[in-house]
Amino acid sequence: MICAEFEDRLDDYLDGSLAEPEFQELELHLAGCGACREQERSLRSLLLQAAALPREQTPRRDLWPEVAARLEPRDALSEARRALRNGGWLPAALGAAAAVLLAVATLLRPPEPAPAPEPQALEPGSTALRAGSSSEPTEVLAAEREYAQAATTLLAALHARRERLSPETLAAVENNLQSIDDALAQIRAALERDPGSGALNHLLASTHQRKLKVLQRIVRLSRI
Amino acid sequence: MVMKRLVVLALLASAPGWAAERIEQRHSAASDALIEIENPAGSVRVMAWDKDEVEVVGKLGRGAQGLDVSGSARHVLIGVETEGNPHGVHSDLEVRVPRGSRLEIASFSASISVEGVEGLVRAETVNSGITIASGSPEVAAETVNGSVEISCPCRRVEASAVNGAIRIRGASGVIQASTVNGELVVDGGAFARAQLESVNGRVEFRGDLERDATLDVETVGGNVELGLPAGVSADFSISSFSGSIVNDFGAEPRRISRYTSEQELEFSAGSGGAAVRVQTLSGAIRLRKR
Repeated sequence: MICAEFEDRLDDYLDGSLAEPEFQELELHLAGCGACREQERSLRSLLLQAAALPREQTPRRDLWPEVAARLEPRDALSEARRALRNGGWLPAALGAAAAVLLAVATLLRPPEPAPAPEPQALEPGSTALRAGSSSEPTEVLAAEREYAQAATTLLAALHARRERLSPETLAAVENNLQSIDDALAQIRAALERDPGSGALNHLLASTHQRKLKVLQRIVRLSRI
Repeated sequence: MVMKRLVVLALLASAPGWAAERIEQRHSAASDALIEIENPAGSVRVMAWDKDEVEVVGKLGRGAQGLDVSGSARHVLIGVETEGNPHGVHSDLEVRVPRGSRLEIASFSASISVEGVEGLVRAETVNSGITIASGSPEVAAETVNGSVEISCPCRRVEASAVNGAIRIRGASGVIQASTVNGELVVDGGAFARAQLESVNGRVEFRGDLERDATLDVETVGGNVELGLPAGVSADFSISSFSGSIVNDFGAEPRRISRYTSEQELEFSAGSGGAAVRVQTLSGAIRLRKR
């Protein structure tokens, strides 16, 4: 028996579920292999410690409402991140940004007014203007972090393709992203003066969305 | 995606060297054929004619390995074959297509123009402008560093630029347009849904609104001017944080914060129905009677 075969059967050995001939075979290997003896001792110790742990740990307070409240947008992000790990990273970057658009738009979107008939929706998450109440500052901060994270992902994708863009285009892109960042700074400054303004919160969210859409578009077109 | 063909063609191209080459190729095409055109850089000019045939004339740039014109009469593929980085290969193509063709044009830095085509048109480039003057019912145009000019009787238009102006004339129905720094001008018929967005560019809309239409305009710093019929029936919701609001329809804006200059204007004109929403941070807003 070689060490790899021993490792494969170690769990069963410790469980006592091996048939007698196999058990004898492993005992024989253990007697002559110091490395496997050490491994066997470590695993046996770990199992003993695990067995000593309490069967159930009750949280000091109910965390579910907070988890549930954030579950939908987080799931969207998780899906995008999983795609980022498993697939091609450029489509995933676009997907991640799209997920953030949806997730954060959900966080920041003021309550809907009475639904108005729309002949044809142009795009999910599109930035139709809405009057409404403000978002909590902590929600705004969290949303801004998500937008920033998505923008960073897309900027990395763009950076990887920068040799495909002419210097003039890159300069134009940088200038325009700077314009959007300046606009965001202006909106934040206005929000400091009037934190209760639903219109400003909406403008902040939609300007973030516009930045991501611009980045998505540039990254997509740079694949041509 | 059709763009991949450029890469494939580049890999397949094996003949070394380059010589200036004028091209002239023809291919049969149905009167409503789908025609895909790819040219990485230079120019693409598409013109309609009354023949069931596609003709491509022009000049291939350094690095081009040839012009591929293939496919069936229902679906014609036209692509500049390149070796190496296709983006430095500047070729000028003039393409004549059946008037009822549907077009998909993709480029990296070629300017794109389309004249007279009556089928759907979709065009995208990165580092150049797009001009479409057609009889198309539907047009989509997208660029990054260039302007978009569309003139058509379209019932649906989607246009976007980043660093460039967007001007759309003659359209009606549904329109969506966005830019960052360029101006955005729409001069058309009656719209069912219009969504116009800019960060710093001014937005100008001249048109009518269908019953129950929505017109949404949003800028951060860009001024907004809406020119609407004097007898328009719509419900208006207008706000600007620090810009002025001028309303030719009568109602006066009101200041909604004791601490800031934020203004809001809400009123109904005629019997209402359509929804007009304008929001800006610092842009001036003007509602003008036409």
